[in-house]
Amino acid sequence: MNKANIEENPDLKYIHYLYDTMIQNKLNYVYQGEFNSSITDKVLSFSEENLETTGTDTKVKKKVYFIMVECLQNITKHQNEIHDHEKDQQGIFMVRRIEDGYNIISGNLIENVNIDHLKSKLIQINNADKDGLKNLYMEILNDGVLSNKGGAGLGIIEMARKSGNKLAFDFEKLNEKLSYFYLQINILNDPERAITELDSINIAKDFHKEMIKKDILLAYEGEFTHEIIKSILSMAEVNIGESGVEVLLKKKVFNVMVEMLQNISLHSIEASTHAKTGKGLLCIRKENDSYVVTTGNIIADENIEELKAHLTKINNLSNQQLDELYNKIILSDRLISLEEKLSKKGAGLGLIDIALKCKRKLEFDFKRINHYSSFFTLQVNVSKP
Amino acid sequence: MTDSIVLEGTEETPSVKIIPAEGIFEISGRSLPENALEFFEPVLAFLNQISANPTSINAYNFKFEYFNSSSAKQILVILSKIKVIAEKNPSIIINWHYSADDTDIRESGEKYIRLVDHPINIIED
Repeated sequence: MNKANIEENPDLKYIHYLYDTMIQNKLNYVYQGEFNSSITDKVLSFSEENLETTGTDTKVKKKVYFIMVECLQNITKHQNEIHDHEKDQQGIFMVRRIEDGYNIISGNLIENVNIDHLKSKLIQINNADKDGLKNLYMEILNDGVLSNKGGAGLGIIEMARKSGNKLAFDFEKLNEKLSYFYLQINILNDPERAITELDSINIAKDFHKEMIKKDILLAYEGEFTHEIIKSILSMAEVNIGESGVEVLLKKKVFNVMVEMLQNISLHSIEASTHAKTGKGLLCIRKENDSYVVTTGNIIADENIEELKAHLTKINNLSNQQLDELYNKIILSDRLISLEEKLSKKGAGLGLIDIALKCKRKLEFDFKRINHYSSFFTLQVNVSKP
Repeated sequence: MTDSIVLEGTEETPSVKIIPAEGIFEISGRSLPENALEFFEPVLAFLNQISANPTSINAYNFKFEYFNSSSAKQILVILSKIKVIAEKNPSIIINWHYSADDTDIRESGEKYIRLVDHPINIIED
């Protein structure tokens, strides 16, 4: 067992913290940023793919999906009604995979003057039983006089009805004009049961604070199947594409993400055992004018030394030398050591490709988990060419 | 006569149009399959076939928007096979297209000229 030289990279401490927090709180993924129909479309596709990997009952999946649609539409609608807000006051969409079901959490801005009305509505909804909710719904429908928030009242009622559980909510004052509104919907796998104690919405609120602190766009912990990678790339493409960032940077981020995600898919420990697909962490955040893409996955001990050597080598080569190494590997039919192992799965060039495109050092470390595996973190800073 | 290969492009695989009867060979779009070897296998098989039986394909066209590292290797293999065919049929040309601000694709094309050691026309679209 080789413990030598496995040190934590201080720049990656926050990722380890993020990962531990997500695992502990059963956070599946969190998206913070722009909300519009093309983005929420992609978030939904991604959510769908994610649901597929869980083996959840179809009926429950449908409920979860329905609630996600409503939720995303709500965030979009209300977030976009407020034109004057700070960059760090974006909407947020969170999914937690709890023991026996799901928590869907939304966060969006709300004008303080609208809080009381919304609060009383939510309390009314929570106090109603199944029939009561149905009546409430019909009342609003027939009334024809929707609040100045349009159909939002209906949306929340529908979510409460579909979930069969009370809604958890909270408001966080930001300034004289605005607050933040958090809504948590709980869906259980077993529809016959009702939640006796709601998971605290503070879990979501606290994680939101982390997201803001680090300017995190997306954090995902789970499987990296082919379909999931595709949907993540789609999501990122639309999001970054709409952010006004120049085309070349957008392409670079995309390129880097493809290589990094396909690496997790191919090389994490789960991929080489029974599970067949890799499992891990993806975090995308912004730092000044760059995008920082970080992936993490569990890796078997026997692969650490070689991978570490490969990365260290890449970091120490000049661009010219990297180019030569790239050529050597791509031309080689008779493959060599690690590159051979990696090339068999098609990724021998991946890390070199990333290094060539980003012209910055690849940040990485290995954090021991148990006596046969470690958590490998890789971080790439993608800045304007 | 060797069969055609026509594959429609997807979000992650390129469009492949190989129609010997019409002299068409074109691969375009995005290529990011995890296992590029598997995807390009039919193209490689085709090139192996026509090595012995020349066709009326005179221009081999590539118009990539993006390709991952796994595809990079296979593209090299494809170009190398075309080189072998071209050495026996000097009228054959290879065209590597790139769109105006796509420096990455342009540079890749230039790189392949060196790696394959054969002329490739780098064309701005």
